[in-house]
Amino acid sequence: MSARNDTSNKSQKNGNTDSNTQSKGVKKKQKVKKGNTENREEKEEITPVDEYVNGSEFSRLGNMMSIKDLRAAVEAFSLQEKPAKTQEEALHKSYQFWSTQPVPKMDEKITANEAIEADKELAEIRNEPYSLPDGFQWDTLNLDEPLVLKELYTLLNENYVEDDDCMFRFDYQPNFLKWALQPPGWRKDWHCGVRVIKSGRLVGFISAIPATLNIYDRQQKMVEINFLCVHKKLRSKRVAPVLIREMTRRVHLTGLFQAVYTAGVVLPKPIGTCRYWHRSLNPKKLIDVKFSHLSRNMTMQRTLKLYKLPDQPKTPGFRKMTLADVPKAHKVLQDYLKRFDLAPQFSEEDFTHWFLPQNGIVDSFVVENDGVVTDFVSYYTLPSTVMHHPVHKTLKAAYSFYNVSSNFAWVDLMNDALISAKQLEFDVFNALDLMDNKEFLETLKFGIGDGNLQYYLYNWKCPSMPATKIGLVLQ
Amino acid sequence: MTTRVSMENLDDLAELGIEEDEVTLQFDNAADHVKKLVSTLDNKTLLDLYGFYKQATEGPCNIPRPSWYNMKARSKWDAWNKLCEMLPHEAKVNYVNLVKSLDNDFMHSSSKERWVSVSIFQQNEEILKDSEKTLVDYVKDGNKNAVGSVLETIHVDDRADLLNELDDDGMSLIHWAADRGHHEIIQILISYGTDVNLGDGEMQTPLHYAAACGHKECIDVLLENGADINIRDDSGLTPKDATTDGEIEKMLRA
Repeated sequence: MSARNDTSNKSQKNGNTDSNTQSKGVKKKQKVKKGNTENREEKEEITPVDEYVNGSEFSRLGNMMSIKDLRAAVEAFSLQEKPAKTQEEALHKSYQFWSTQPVPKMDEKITANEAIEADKELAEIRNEPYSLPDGFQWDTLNLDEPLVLKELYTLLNENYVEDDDCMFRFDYQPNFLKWALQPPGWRKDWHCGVRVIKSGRLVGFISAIPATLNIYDRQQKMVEINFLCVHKKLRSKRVAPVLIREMTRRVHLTGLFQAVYTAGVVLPKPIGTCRYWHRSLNPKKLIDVKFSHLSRNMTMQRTLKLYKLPDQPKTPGFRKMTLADVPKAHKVLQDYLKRFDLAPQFSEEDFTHWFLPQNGIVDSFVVENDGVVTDFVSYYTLPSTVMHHPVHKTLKAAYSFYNVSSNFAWVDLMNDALISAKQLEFDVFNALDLMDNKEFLETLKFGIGDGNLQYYLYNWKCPSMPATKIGLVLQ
Repeated sequence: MTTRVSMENLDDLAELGIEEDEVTLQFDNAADHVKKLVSTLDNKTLLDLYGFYKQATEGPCNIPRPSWYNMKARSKWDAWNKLCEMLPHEAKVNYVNLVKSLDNDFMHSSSKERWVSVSIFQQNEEILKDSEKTLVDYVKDGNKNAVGSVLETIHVDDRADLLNELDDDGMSLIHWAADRGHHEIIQILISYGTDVNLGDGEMQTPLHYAAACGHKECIDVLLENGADINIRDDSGLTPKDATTDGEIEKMLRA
């Protein structure tokens, strides 16, 4: 919990800094460029990063240069109309964008559980798509077209993780993307792409899928927003806010006004913060590709022993879920999810889509004895590309999805999940510290990961919740 | 992967004015990073950074020298002007190198707070500085040059004693090398007098380690140097018993 408080404080500070400099920045932009209203709207999202130094830091430098002058020397960096380098910079640091959106302020104390803005009448919703920078156009992607799916795959593979120096990139497989983006009730116009007009190259994407969520005591239909991605070369163009606005418009047109999304960054305002934990299944490879680290006084030999798993699951009645199990397993999960303050409401059709095992996409297991399904585990497959490694090109990771322990202990049930993942040749098993996962993470030798995952609701305010009350996992 | 991306034809994007080469990205990162460092920098460094920055973004100095009574403006002008006809690209490289020299962590201290990132195990252990490293660290790192040169500094008569000594973990250097999978280090250690069949605290030989960890090249090197495949450890296990890998079992068959 302390980590979360730290990050929110930090963000508040950023927020203050931004608001202090806001008027100046906007004035400058307007002076430099005159555009139509639409363009100005986008311009306002640009936060010039100035005023990052205050006088006191310079005073020690004496009078050879005045404070103002020194600041000018350093500010030269920001005065150059320097583009935002990453989505993070464009969104996170640009509070102008989020201040225009129906999201709670960072320091807002919330006791209510309700929409921020009332639903809009159809007539209030903008009819035409938002304008893109010159040379680009919107294109709704038909993911049933293999070549289009492949284009999306390539865009995400090369650009979704923005860190240029990263060692791993998510490698969402084409069939996985179809699974994640075409659940029951999916809409083609919620697969929203941006292309270069002249070449047709796909350079941007954002998606929405329908979902019904239980938030404390309220049930709300909304969308899950995911796969917001802008081509590396376009980071300077601030396409991400336009993608968000356009998707919001398209969702509004269908009569939905709320959304849920997750991100690694802190934005206004997380409803909860989770952390990934990792369980080595193939420790030697994980160390080799630097996903994991061997501490100085630990031997590889002991490490291999430590993570060794039995060959077969041990829980009696533990087996792969089949179509025939769906009604029972669905009920087991749905009953369990009632315990959480934020959780999806799956229909049986939804459940079948999300959990019926599909090779290389999703694996689910039930514990069934005497015809009664009591326990349930599931995980999805998301490999990562290993960058710059002579031998290993990909890392096969299982991500814990939804699990229910009732007749068997969490530790035993999830140990069987690990064994099954090992049998399927996964290198690592990942799980967030949400729901009841803390019951087994440390015992089963998971190690803590290096980044947080923040949960957000759009156009909804409610008190924040600890990870253990979050019952929602997105892809 | 990298080659393919850079080979990829991005003319369509270039045409739209979106041309960001690697150096420019690094330069922008460095300029961002400087903001964090600025309070720790002296005037000379700030002026150098200023000069490179102006040269990189605006090209050679093209404004008249400020008048003599405006000393600060003159210092800045001088810092820029002295770069003469340096190409913007070169100025960017110089700027990036200067920032790197000011802060070693630049380029490595990538914050994990990103829109999307692949979570990996948190690194809890401080990374040793080179100055703090000893022979055993070089062995674990697989730094064969450092291992070789440290061993050279040790008197010939003392080498064998040092190399066959067990540490607090009950291991010698060759066990660490076999555990970490550094076959070249194993070769070096043997050539400097390590006993190829040296037992650790539990009587495990380097071959036990290499077999248990699946390091095939190490097994090869050990066997070439006469490692005994029949030695049993405290638990009565031979190196072959330490593996489940069929290929390694074959290598260790008498």
